[in-house]
Amino acid sequence: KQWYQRRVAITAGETPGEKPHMDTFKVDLNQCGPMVLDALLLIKNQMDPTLTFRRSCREGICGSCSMNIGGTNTLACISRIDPDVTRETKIYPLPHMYVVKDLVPDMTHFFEQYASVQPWLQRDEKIEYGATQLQQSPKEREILDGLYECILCACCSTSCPSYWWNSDKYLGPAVLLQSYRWLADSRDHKTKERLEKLADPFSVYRCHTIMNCTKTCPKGLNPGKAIAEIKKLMAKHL
Amino acid sequence: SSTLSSLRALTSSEYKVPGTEKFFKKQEVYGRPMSPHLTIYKPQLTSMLSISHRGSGVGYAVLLYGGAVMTLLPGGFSHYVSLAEQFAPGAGVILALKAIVALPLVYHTVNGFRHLAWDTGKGFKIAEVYKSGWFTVGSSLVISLLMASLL
Repeated sequence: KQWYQRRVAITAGETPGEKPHMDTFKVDLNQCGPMVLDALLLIKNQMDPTLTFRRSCREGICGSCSMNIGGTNTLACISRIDPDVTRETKIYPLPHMYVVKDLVPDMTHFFEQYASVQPWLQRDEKIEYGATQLQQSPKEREILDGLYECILCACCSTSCPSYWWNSDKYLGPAVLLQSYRWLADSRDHKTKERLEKLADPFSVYRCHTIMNCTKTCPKGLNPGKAIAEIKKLMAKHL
Repeated sequence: SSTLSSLRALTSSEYKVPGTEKFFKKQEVYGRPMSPHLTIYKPQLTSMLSISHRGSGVGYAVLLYGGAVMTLLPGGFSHYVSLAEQFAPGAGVILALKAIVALPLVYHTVNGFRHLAWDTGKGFKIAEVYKSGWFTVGSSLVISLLMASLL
């Protein structure tokens, strides 16, 4: 029988004033699926039904189960449980976020920041949807590879110390990656306006190339590089 | 350009993202705890080298200003050198101390070139970041020791 200890950050969802604390659970790995999400579900089903976390697709595409596992941010559903049973795995919510309960952070501001970069196609003329194809060469389309696949899980932004200290004004790697996705799209005409919207000391320039973001992205994307490209565009056009 | 001239710090009443003030107020009202960050996040080469760049920058600036101020103090710089010489530590200790003094300056400079490469958009693949990172650490140690032994 293999026993595996898991410490999960529990915060007071019900009792106000109760201090957040850690709970430890022992999981028999023979009775459990291979991923951290499987363990969380086992704990919830068999040990503590009040354990609260977000989850949906269980295949690393929806971005719901993002949390801090073993010190780094990933998706629980594609994070394999460390088979070394002598070691504990610590699970925390995404860092420096306001916690609703247990492993559930309040993502409202993150999504508000995403909306603020106007993540949709904008052209000089009014778009008549379906009238014509907005054509793009294969080379132009290739630029979008590594940008469009973002699932907005927030692992990167919440791994960034700069975002920890300035999340009110700094947009963070996830939102900036998406901002670059639209800046780089050849079919979008509003590049200058998008860059002008970013022209202040905080929105982009709190990035100090720490690179925790690219290190932690569970989808293998590179927000650090995208932000560097934004800075180059800002220098060129503004 | 006119856009650059409007670059100034935003005050909290000028949040560009609508709903920011409301969001933070709500968290305060609900009394929500903040999830841990520095205490739990795994130290990685990315973050450790970055903070070292900041630390070494402060460190060598202190050394620079400190050294400059010392020349203005009574007795001048040579007075303090002779004071230190009275301790007469071994050659090995002197070498180590010199290397430690040189390290922030050397590391900051070498990592500075890494930053300049990043500014051109080069070296952002995570494998490249780690390769250049370890190279920076290694070369900083070697160059510091070299400087300490030769100068």
